[in-house]
Amino acid sequence: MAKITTHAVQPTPRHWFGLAYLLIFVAGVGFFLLSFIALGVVPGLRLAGTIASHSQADTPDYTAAELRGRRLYTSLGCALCHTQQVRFLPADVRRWGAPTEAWETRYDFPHLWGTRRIGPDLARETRVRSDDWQLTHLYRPQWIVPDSVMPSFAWLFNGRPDRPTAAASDLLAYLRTLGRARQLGEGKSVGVSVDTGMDPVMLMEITNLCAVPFVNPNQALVNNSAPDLVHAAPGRDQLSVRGSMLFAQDCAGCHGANGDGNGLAASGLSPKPKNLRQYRFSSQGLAHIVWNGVAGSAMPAWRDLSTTDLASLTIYVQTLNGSAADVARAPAPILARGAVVYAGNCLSCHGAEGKGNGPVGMTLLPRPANFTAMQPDPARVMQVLNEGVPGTSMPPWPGLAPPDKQAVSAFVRTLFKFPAGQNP
Amino acid sequence: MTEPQGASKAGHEEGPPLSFVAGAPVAAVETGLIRAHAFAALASLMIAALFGTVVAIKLVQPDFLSGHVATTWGSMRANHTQGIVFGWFGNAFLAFLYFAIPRLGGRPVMSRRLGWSLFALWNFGVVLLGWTLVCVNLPDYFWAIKPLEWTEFPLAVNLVTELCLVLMALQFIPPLARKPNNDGIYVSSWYVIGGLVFTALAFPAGSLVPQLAPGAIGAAFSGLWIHDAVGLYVTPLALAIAYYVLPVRTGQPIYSHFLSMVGFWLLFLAYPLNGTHHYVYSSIPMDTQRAAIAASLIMGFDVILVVQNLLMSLRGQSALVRRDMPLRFVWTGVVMYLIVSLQGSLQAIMPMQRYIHFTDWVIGHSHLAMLGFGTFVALGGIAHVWERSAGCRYHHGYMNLAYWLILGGLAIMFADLTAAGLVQGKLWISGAPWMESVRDSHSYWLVRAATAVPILLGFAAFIAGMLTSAGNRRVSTNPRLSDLGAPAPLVSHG
Repeated sequence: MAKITTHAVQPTPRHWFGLAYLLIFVAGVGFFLLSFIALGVVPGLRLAGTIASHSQADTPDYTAAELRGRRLYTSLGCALCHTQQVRFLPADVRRWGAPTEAWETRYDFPHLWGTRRIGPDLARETRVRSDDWQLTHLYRPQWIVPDSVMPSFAWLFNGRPDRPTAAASDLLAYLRTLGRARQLGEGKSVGVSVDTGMDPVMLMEITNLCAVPFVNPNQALVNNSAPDLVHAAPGRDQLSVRGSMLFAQDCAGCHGANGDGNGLAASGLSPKPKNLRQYRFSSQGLAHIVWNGVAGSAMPAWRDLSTTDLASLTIYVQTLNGSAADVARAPAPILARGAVVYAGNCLSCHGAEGKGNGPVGMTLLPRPANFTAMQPDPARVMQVLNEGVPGTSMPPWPGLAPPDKQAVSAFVRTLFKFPAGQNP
Repeated sequence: MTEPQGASKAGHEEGPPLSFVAGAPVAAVETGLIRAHAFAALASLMIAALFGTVVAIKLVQPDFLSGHVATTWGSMRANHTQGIVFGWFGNAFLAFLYFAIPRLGGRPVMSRRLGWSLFALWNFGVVLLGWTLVCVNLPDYFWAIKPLEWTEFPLAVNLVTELCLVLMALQFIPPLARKPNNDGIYVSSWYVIGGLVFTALAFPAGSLVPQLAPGAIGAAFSGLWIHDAVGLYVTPLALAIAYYVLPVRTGQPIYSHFLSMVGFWLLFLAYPLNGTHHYVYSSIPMDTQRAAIAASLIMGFDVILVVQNLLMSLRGQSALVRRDMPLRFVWTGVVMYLIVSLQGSLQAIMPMQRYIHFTDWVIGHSHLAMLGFGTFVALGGIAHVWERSAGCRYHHGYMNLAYWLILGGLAIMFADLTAAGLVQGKLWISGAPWMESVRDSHSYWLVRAATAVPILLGFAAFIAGMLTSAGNRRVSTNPRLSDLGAPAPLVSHG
């Protein structure tokens, strides 16, 4: 280097240092290309191969409305708090199902994986919650989830959660697509595709978790059992105190702080949240509703609660019913008349024993009321007979004579199965 | 090659002193541009920090400023991060470069007109246009917010940004690279050249490719820019400031030319390979993830070398570091650089990723990097530039107040967010209902929002320090000065 002496400088001055070239082309350009190829292009090509080999041919692309919704999701910053990436970790898989694989994201321009989770992951949000739940939650998240920190998107609505603008409908359409690819591909047993290099113990755990079809703990299920709470009796008072706290956190948004069904969210939901003060619930019947939700309504399932919390909530909700001092059974002739009316009008849906499992009822969502698990107050029965239950298949019964209504009201209340020893 | 003997080591203990430190005449300096960019930087810092404050308050009180798309959480968050990375750091680095390039290169920047065009494009075409478009929230592909970290501004703004990045390279690299140059190419210049070239390439790759490549493939590229924004844009330019300010203020050379070289080349080799560590346990091929984790560990060792080099250059100068505001800001930033980089290496490894990924731990980490390292060094750089530019002096008392307010606020915020991240990670693994983690975060988010007070007051005190010194009254009317500046600080002070 030093051998090139000064005479070389004068006649043909070189205007650049060698080091400058090195900095520009090695540090700047070269190392950029190295990273671009090594961490971008190479894995990108491998991912493209994985996508091609794993893709379900019939996985649909986004429709125009879904795409508009996706752009809205993006520009409103939803992805800043909600990831769309179930990681290859047991903790993630337990919450949201099988890990997010490349083929699920093949229509995503750009990806919405995200880097921060303030709210839950949404990669598998489809079918977890009802449309009116989603819309009311977008309109005013705290109405449904009182402690949520999610912003309100009320400007996407015409003043009410049940009057969405086209934009909100698009957004809802997009939310329905989240996890659709996985659902459509499920039957074809794609399995978990992981390269070598994962911790084998963890991989085994994930594979085992994925062997069982995943259902989100908040997705309402029709045919599912609930944990048996018969033995959770000791410490009822303590459980009830905890139950009241859980109720305020999880239920009051829709059912109201006092359980009368007039929570803030009620205005956007159809059917309306139940007025819990008008029903007497059996412990197991209530546990079933809380644990599995009410499919066809906005009531989600709460299978992420511990059994103790489920028992606490059940005990607390049972205390909401004011009419503890029940009236005596109606006279036998009235009950007999009620039974006839019931058989003629109600049985096909509510079933012979009032379990809500009549032949027609089994095709309906939400399912008809199960009178063995919940006993409506007489006033409530009369209200339903007069007005129906909007948002469900239960119609009003204007043709029924008032004495018949009284009779069938008395009759359905006898269907309730009191816990042993409490039957009046 | 043809540089004067030993000049490549100028500024280091092995070589001659930097000519401008030794008192040689300095090429013409665009003082007007320095002032304009410095004020734009501090104004952007204040505004972007206010956006961040709104974001923090909304996490405690979601109704705060709600109901409008312009002030919804997502818009404020995008404006916060983009305001910091472009409004604050962009202008701060430009102010420093207009001051330092004529000294480092021995010749003025390429063009004053280009400078003012760049100023206008950057501040109106990137920062203000970007903020406005985010608030207007257009759904159109070209004008819409992107969900990509560190490049949330719409594609339309990205086009202007890219133009500016190219113009920056043209403005500042030729004066550094063309010979003859008495000081060779000093280590600050390496970082400036490397950083500007790299960023001009990495920014479009990170902003555009994920829009065109589907899902997981796009994410692989997106991960690169997440790290390059911090690692190859903020870090090299902040290190350029550190390598510049330290020897000038102490009058003492950089400890080791060898460590300067190793630190530089290892940074440019390893830092770009870190990107995929933002997607550990994703469907990106596992060996790509592992390579990125390995690069992250190498990065940690490299930062130890760089910081050792910088701190060894301050041997025997502790009294001066305590007394001298620009030096103390830069020193603090360098120490934070070490801490945040070691934390970064630690959290890149898989057992940590299982626990802390997606939590507030990472938000604490990013604030330690951008506010602790980048901002402290840039504030020190601006204070140094301010002291030595015609018509600009700073007020020591206000600067000192700013230092302690920002440091205190950051320390509490970092500890708070780190603890919050651990709580969130624990609850997520426990399988508790999701809302448990939101409820338990509340008190931490409250503390975090409260730390906005000292930090904002600190920024305000810094601005006050730039405006209120008696030296500001001697404003020169000459926009372009052959700088004689302030006298170099006397080594005898130390």
